[in-house]
Amino acid sequence: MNNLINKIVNLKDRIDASPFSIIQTKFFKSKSDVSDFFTFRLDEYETIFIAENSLALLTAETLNCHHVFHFFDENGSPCGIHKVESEDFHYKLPIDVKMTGGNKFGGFTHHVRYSEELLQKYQELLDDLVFQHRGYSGFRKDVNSGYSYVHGNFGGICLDNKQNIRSFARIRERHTFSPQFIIKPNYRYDLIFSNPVDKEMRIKFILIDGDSIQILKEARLNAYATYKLVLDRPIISNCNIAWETNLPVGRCVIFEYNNEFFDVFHS
Amino acid sequence: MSNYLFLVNVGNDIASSVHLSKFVPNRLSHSKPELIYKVGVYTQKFESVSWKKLDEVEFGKDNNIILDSSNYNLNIGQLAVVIPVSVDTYLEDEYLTLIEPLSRKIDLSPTSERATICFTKGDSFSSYQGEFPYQMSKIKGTFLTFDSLLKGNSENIKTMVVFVNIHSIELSEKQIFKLNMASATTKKRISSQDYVYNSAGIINVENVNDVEICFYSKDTLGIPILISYDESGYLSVEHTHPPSECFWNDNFKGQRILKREWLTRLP
Repeated sequence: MNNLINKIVNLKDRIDASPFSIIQTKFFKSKSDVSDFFTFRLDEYETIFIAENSLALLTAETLNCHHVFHFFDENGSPCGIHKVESEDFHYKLPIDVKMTGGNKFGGFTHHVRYSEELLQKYQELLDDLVFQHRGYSGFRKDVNSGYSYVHGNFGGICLDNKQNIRSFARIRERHTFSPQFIIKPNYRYDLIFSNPVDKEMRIKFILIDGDSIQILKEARLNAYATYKLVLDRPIISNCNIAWETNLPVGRCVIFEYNNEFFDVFHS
Repeated sequence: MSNYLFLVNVGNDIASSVHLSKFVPNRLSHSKPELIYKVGVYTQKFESVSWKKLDEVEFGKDNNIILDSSNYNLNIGQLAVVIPVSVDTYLEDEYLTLIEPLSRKIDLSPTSERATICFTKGDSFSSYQGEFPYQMSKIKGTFLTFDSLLKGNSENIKTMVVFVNIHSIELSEKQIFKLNMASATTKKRISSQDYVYNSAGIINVENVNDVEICFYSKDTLGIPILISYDESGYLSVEHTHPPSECFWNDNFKGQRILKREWLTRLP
């Protein structure tokens, strides 16, 4: 009996630790390539995205790729689709408001399509492989400067037969994520969270200052929504921050500012 | 899977630092929030096969440990490996086999046991969440990555690829290896740089907006960090995904095919 209870507890722990649908990932092959959920911001920034031509990278040959980008506004509503063709191993997409339905802040996915002829030609190499897109988003404020890059974090988003967005990401038991960085004095931070799940997600932000713990804020994100938490310099410094969500992998993109300089990284 | 962290002197007046906290990076919310450990800092000089202790640091009353490369008098390309260990571990002054790092995982939650790896040049700063997996340190392997993060840079921006390799297994001698840069399209080698185990190979990259570039080693695996900077205060640091991340399922099979297709064609 104890053995059975242990097995059940163990199974529950394993399910709680699994970021994606176990049934969809272990027992079925995804019908489409799978994308992380990326962030764009066009408020005071330019955003570019470096999109991988997956089949070209697999085969080491330049070949024609149809890149498809699905954009979502900050509330998670679809707001634009952009398609482009390129033979390059990596395609650089400067994102503009025409692609995002006029929205200056939100999320997007990247998918690729190849001709039947190419898929037939490389059928043996492709075998059962499913491509995943974890591309790189670059942000800058000044056209004379370079971009600050961050790679994809998390997503598990695919397209169904009707080209509608579907997510393999799942809500699980509450997890607490504590990034290994310190909130520095005189710095300012934007923490940007994307919800890659097709259900509402709740986040509780926790500030840790020495031995003291303070709940900063709680937020609710619709499916595919993007949310920005601003930490301003008068409030806090030399602290740690953590957040509690129902995602086993609850990462975010962090913009760190000090005077005229800024940096972008993922948690 | 437990991880090493690292400091590196990359030259050009750029210093590196490692920021770690005692808070468990990712956990079920009801699990223990803290893990008390200490870190040992070890280096291996280019011509030596022995690891020498540089430092041993505990948290004490603080929640965070910050280590700075400028405190360890490293030569350009020299690494200082940061090893989390339990507080009761006696750290020898010298090792031939680098000790295994402590795992900071306390339940089944998916955890990348990382640190903030930060680079500064004057007032400019840039960081990423980085690590060097212990499992990788026991394998010889090969390496391949692309110039994804060099896209869109203006001509006054300088870029270097810093190739970090840590080999924890005892060595009898230091072989000379080659880090290569080649055209991704023609597969012709553009330049190469010597490196040895337990160091960082550094290639300075000329402006490459018109040509797609790849970087590779047929000798060892390693982690590439791309650092872009200019003299007006721009600094950007990010690591690229390993090829296995291009695949949603069976990612090691995908990586094996991708590397084979490239490395058999590259000189």
